Amino acid sequence: MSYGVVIPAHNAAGTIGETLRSVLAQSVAPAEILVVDDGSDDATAEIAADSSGIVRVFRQENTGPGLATSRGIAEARSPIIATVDADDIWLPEKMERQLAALSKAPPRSLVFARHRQFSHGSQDFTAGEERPGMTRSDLVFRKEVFGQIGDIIDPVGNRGDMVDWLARAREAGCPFIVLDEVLVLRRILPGSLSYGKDRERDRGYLAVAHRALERRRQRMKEERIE
Amino acid sequence: MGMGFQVSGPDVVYESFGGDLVVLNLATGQYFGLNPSGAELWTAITEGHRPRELGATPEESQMAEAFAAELQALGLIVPSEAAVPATRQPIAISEPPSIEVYDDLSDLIVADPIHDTDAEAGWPKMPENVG
Repeated sequence: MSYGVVIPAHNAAGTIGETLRSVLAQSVAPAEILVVDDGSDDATAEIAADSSGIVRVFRQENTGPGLATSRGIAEARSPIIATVDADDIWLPEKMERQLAALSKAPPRSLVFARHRQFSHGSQDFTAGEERPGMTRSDLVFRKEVFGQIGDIIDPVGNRGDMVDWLARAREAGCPFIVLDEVLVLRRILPGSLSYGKDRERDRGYLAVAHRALERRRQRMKEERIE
Repeated sequence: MGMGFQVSGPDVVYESFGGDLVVLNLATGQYFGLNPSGAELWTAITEGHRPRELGATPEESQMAEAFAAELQALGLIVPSEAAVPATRQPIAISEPPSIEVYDDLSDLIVADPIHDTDAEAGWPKMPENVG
């Protein structure tokens, strides 16, 4: 099963090299890696382009991680897509395990794994908090599913884009499969997009909740009409 | 008990979207939809106004008190020692206030942000009044 890896990246020069090395070191190698440089003003694009011949880099004005991910998926030629943030790390058998799970699962499934957090700069990858990883860095799915769900939308604050997309996928009946094994390391990096509580960025989650409310009302209206 | 209330903590966030008030508990991932009179009461109660003084009639003030108790039971507000702000216009409650609880996003919202428990003194944890 041939797969492509989509990496949205914004000013990730300090971390994307390590992310790419972990992708290139997979026990089942990717067919292509698509890095969408989302308006970086550092060396993100150069580091990505130099890492391997299978990397294609797309540069664009900053749109936010959701639309950058959508662009990468649209450019991918592989039937299976995996996404990862430009600061996280895959363990070597991540894709092998998830591809095996996807091959046995209903075709519209989204396959995740567990992830463990680690602190930026630390070499201790064993002690961090472990959680079910329903995030961009864990996700594997068949590309045709993307067309059914639509683009990943960036809420205000650039937070919650994946919550929104995954909620839409679940409402559309896509089964979620979370492998009970740590396959991803998620970086704790103060100041990064997903780090900790942030009043302005957390407004994104509120916008996502409001969108979910509106979809619910729409469904209720449609049910009444039927 | 004629006390005022405040939002229970930084995990409880809220915003109005074109007249729709959405409240979200980041610790549990639950979100809440309030009808218009619920939204009006939410604003007054979280500003510190005593619920029993909010209605235009005793019945309405009872409704406001019952609504505050519901918000408290949901872990969204806690009693506040802060001084009560100056009196405000009573609220004419045209329809009973309601708050609906949704947890279809909970697992996704709880999984999404990176939890730096060392840096954030125990976050994520449940507000004290939940459960």
